[in-house]
Amino acid sequence: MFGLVGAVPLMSGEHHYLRPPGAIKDDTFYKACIKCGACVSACPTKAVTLIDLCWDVKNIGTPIIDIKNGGCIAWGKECLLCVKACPTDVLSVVKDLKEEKLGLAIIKEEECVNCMVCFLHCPIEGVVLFPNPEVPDKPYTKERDIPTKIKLKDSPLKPYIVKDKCIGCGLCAHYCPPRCIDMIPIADVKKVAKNESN
Amino acid sequence: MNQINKVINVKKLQIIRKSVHNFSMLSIILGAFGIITVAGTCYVSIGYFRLICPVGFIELSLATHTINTKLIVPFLTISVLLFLAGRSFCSWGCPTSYMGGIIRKMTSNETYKKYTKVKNKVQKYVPQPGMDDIFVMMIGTLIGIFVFQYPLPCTICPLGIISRALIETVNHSTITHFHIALRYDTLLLIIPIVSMFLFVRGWSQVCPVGSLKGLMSTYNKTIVPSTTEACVNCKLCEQVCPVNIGHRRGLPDMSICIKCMLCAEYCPQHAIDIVVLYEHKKTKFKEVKDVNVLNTSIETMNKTA
Repeated sequence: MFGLVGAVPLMSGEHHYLRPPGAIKDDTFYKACIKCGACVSACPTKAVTLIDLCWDVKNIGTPIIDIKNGGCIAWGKECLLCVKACPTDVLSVVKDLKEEKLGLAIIKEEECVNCMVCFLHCPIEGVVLFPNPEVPDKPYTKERDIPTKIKLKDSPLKPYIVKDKCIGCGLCAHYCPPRCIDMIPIADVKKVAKNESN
Repeated sequence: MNQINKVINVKKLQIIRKSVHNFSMLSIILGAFGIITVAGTCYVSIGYFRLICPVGFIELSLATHTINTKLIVPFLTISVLLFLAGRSFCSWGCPTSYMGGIIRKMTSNETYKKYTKVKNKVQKYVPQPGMDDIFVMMIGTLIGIFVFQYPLPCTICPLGIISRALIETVNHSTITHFHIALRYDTLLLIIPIVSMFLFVRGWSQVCPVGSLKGLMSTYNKTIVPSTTEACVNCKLCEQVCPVNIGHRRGLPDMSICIKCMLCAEYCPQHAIDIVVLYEHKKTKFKEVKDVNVLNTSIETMNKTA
């Protein structure tokens, strides 16, 4: 039994996930989570789900935000019900919601059809931007400001997401009809930033 | 003294027990809807009343090398309840034994006699762990959790697997697309199912949660089945017992007994009493006389009951 307890985390794959708000560091998440599923029942949009059977055995049963089911609404409305429901404080109290980041969303421009649904659902203004061909310094922040000609499906101009401002709630990725938005967890974002600065 | 040794009506107690067991399953499903904070059998929070799985609490404290102060009160609450109740959680509240009971009912039919024969043969060759072996395994597991910082039992615990499966199905199934959400890790329930086959006492012999409760209830004497002088040693109680307690006369081994009271229910002589507090008496037991009583099988009892 002693060996089995040791073998499982050592043999598991190294993978980072999009966690609910208030999550502790991803490397220590599985140690403190009791895998009760209280956060799953508490989430109003049913965005939180528990990891299923996979090669990353040590994280089985821990909560993640699955954009196929929903996105985190905490930045638009008052929520954080998952944090309140968690018994072991692995989702600990969020001190400042503005400084909390779950991850990063990236729009794949080749697949984007300019439907503008991401504009509608992003809870923070100024994260999703549309390039302004006339005034390049001032991209469009609101969907209704964009003239119809340049936001047609075959237009070369596509919306893009500002890396520093995106908090990774996943609402854009959930509502995107062609599913062309990728979510990168915050732990992987820091890795990419480290590599870029080196 | 007479009041303490009061005998409880077995039929009424069985109805209460089965209702409590059904209610326990129902409360997990209700908890999945978010009506009450019942996160399976891992965590219960209703107002100021909070409970946490004791094994889970111990695992987390060892894995994180800290003790979460918010969880001390729920842990102490459940510990006190278990100390008083003994292993009755196994037959009054556990969802795993609920499913196991359904499987046992299915396999006690005439058509499954071959399966029972094979099972009895296999069980003779498999080394059967006793409470001492389980104790050593538990200590090894706990040391492993402390060193490697990974709470393994929480991942494979069948209580957790059933709770998570119910929570997932309730929350992520959609009516519009006729999609029932199922978790693949329900396949890990093969472990308790195989244990039912390999071990004499089934999964309850090796269950870590049950074994912890068994250790705490070794000297439990409240609401126990006690054999009286009317016993003729027909051993039907031993056949019916889901955890296969061997020696029965007097008081059974309370670290194994799950207080399901099937022994008292099926005794043809009504010789087993459920007493509020057991008092050790020197009873003169009868010897085996009636051969017909010996040959009574569970199937015939099921037909008459």
